[in-house]
Amino acid sequence: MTDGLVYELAEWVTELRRDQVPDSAIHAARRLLLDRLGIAVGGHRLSGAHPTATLAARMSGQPAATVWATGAPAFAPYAALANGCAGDALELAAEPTCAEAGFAAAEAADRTLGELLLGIVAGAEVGGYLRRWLTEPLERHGLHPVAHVGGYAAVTTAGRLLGLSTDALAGALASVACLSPQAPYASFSGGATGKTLYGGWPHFLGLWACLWASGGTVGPATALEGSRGVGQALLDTGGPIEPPAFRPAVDGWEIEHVHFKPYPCNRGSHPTLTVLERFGRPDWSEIESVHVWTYPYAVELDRRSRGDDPTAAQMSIRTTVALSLVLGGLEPGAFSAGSLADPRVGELAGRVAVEVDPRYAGEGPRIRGARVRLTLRGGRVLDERTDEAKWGRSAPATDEELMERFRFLTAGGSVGGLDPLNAPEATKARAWGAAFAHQS
Amino acid sequence: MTESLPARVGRHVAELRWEGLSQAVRGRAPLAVLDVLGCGYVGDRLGVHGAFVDGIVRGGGLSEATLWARGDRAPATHAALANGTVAHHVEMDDGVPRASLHGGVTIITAALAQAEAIGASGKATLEAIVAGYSAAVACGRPLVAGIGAHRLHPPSIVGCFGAAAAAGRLLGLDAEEVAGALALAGQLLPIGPFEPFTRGATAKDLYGGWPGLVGVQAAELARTGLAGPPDLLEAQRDGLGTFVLHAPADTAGIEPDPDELLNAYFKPYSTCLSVQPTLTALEQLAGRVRDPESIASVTVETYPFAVGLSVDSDPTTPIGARTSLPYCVASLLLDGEVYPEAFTQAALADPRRQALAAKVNAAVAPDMAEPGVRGGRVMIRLRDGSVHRAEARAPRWSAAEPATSDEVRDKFRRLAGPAAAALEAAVDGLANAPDLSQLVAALGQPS
Repeated sequence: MTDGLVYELAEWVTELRRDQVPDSAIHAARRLLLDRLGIAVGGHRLSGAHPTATLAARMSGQPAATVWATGAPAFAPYAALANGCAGDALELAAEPTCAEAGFAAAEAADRTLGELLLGIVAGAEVGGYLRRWLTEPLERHGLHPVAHVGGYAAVTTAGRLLGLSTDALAGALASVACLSPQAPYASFSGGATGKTLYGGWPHFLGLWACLWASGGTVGPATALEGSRGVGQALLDTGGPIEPPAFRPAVDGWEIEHVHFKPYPCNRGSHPTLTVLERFGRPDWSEIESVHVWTYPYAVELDRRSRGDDPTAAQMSIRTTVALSLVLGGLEPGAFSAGSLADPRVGELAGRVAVEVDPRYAGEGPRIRGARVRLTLRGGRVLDERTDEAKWGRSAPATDEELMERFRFLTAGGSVGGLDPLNAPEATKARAWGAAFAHQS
Repeated sequence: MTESLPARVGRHVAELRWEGLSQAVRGRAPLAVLDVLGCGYVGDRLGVHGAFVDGIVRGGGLSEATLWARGDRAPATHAALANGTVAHHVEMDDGVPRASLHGGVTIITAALAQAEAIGASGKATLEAIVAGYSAAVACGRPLVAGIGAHRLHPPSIVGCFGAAAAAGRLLGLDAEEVAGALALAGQLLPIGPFEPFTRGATAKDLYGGWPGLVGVQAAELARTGLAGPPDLLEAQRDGLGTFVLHAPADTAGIEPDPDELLNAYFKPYSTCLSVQPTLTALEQLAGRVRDPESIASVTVETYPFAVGLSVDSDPTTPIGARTSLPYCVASLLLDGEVYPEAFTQAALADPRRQALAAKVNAAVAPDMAEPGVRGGRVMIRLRDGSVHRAEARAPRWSAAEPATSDEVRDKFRRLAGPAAAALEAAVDGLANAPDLSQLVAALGQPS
């Protein structure tokens, strides 16, 4: 295979050298790894063991990798599945979706942390490119973009770490293209518990695709752009398409632009919550009404949200605002059945109006902004706007903020005895994974 | 509010009883099992996926279910993946037209794997298979037109529902849990572009095995309490319908049919169904064209989808060649049949076959452009100027003239090779077998 978009992507990945990547990007990869480790461990601690952890425990085999929350070994695709699903209920994970698959691959191939970090950089670049290309049609079709395209980043990172040749990695990317889940958003909006599988399935598929490719089972070179490929299906063109040019690192490295999630809910609510934070902590009982104007897709997601369970609530701006005001903020795990059953939340949510802000409804790059007007009893009004959610590009999360969240999630501050932000790059992933067993 | 389709199908799956099934469907189920076993055995013999299956074996896990023709054992999900992938390679597995389902490779593999894992009786296994077919078609019917319109591969998508239903039935899930499993499968089913088929990529065979893994996994996770959204198909703005149909799926009036298995066709040729009406027409001329060297040209007219696939196909690969009208026509003319032997590397490289294929031209038949029409028309012009024509309005062994039991068994025996007798005896006794031990023993025989 020497043609096709997947080959072009694979060739760049396999030829990427450490000296081509700035230290800042490597550090950014550490930040992603830190966050993902914390979310998985925290999810297990706060939400209980995900069923995929039990599933992974039954799946021994080679290559093996570690289930982070339990420290138990499992067949690598299942370890990555469990790690990705473990914290999904917290709704804190940021793209790219490659750390879990990458860590598993690094263990399987006995790689170092340094190699894992470089793999994450590569996965972020490929994943970011495909996410930018395909997110709009995925959203338009009511599909969950991260669940569908996440596998591309996962297979990229894992494939590099497993030492796949360019041909094999291209074939693995193509297999992912063929088998990526359609991932209807209804699982989220409808409050289905199965939605948490979206956190781990991309890693599961990515690792399987790598294993198949090393044995010669591969997808077609034109899986993405061909006349019967994925692109034409999502873009409704019914024929071959010209994908956008892949220009890695042309606008900085993708990994350095990760927008970590400060709030444990769907991103649609984040700009709104960012504004709410600026209002301090108004007494919820003093609130007469809340009016939110925000970007169209956020309003769309809010309207789709149905059901009063934690999953659907994480997609509802109305419920999220109400919960945040009643609780005085949103900590990981805030969306529990108990907190949502609080009558104050439902009553206040009924006084939250959400509509599209024309400022954010034009053509061009999406602006994830919101304006919030809080009307208090007595006539006082708080009214502010933001064009960017907290921890966005102009003011990303600091290392300290991420570490603070990590400590909260892990109730300790390390996983496997190491600090992901500072562990030596020569650390062997396998040794690190083995250390997880002693902390669980 | 109308009950969702997954809920209705879940109830059907949970309540289905062997004793309540028609005699016809009870007789059909073992035939369907034989048919896919034959595909699996010849697939193993061809060795295309040896490394793939070796990887599954290395993957370890619980020794729950048998990898056909190898005797190795693997978790039920992995066995479904492996057996379905290997069996799908030769493109001779069954199909149900109204949902474009390949039930043999997606449902029967999953059912056999899950049944072996839990020690189910033969009757329970056959019940699960019947339930799987009816569930898959019920869930797939509202979507299939849209799937096709997006140039996606329906069997890889629809099969996931059937596998989940069959596995869920065997795991003893109640109606609500089966519905949850169906919806989980619906979350995870692949986008499934048709590209790997026409381009001849080996991942196309995964369209036979991956649905089994998805379905069995969905059922196992449903047993733990996970569930997909109840309105997976009918959701207004973010269900499966809103992708392939650009609208919520219309599931009103759709009920699972316990006799759905009777709507399955078996394949007489080792090709994509798209080619088969043409081959059926061509077979009528077998006695009139004795020497392929005497052929000056072959003109094929058939339905648009078949022509489109053929145009896009890569006939230099075993998989792509199976959608190529010229290649398949040439193979039938040279060999008198189109069996897996026609797609070996030697056959693909055969200069006689290539030269004959070059004489074949295919075009859309204007009278076959209506949806649902699957006909083929062939005109052979010989060097002596004589012209021979034939036409078929449906492929051989389709509903108009389905395969007889003897024909299906003859096909199976040829494909299964030395293991045929033991497999056939085991399958024929399934309905009364307390477990699958006899079948498992037979499955340990090499191809």
